[in-house]
Amino acid sequence: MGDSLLLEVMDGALRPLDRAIREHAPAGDAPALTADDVGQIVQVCSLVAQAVGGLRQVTAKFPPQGMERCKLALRWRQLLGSIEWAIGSISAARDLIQREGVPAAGPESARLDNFLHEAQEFRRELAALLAWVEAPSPPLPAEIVGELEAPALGRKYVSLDEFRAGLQAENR
Amino acid sequence: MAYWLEIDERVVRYFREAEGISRQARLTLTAGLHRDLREHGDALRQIPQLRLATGSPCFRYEIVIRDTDRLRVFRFIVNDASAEHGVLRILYADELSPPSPSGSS
Repeated sequence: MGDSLLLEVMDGALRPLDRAIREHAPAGDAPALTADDVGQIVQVCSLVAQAVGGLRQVTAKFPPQGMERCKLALRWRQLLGSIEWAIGSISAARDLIQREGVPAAGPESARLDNFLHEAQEFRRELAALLAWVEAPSPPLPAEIVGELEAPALGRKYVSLDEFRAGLQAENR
Repeated sequence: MAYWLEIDERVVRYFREAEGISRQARLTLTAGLHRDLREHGDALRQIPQLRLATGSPCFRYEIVIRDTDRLRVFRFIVNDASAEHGVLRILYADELSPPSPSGSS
């Protein structure tokens, strides 16, 4: 499954989860959470956690075809935002369940803790990747810049097609 | 607009002789050059931040690839002085080597 689809799955689960938590949390006069409610919340969080796990796997192989550096940075920054959203929502769900003191919610809370732990690990990995890809490039030496900007006299070129053909022929 | 892409012989030599670049990585790099510069070079040419200096005929194209489970960044310097004739010329290439997180958990 590609990362776009995984993000859609996650987005589709997080929106109603956030809404449910928001509607329940502040007033305090909402009906008490039942064990069923807790089960459903954990189910949705489980779906989110699976999507996070899938995204982690995809990211570990990315970019398979290479990617322009700025585009890759943008993509990973957006992904990081989504993972932080997931962490915030799962964390809010866990807090809600703990606050409500639903009987027998302990094991479910523990599952949420596991989901959080996995997502936080991925966030750390992703933040490291992002810092790496966004690190500024060292400047080119001034003499090289001067040479590159000078009129191209006496240079010899090969076309990209020739270059590729040469590479493809090399190890046949 | 699609461009005709020419590569300076020294760049070609760099990639032929550089140690530690797998054949697959070289092919990935050329595929990236084809996709990003030949087919979408216009977009890159219009980004001022990629120019070596204001008004410079040269811009940077940096590509990240995964080579045997390691991330690597290669920098190309492209001269677009002949872009109106449909030609981009790659004059320089090097590898940028900030420490790479494995990204391969």
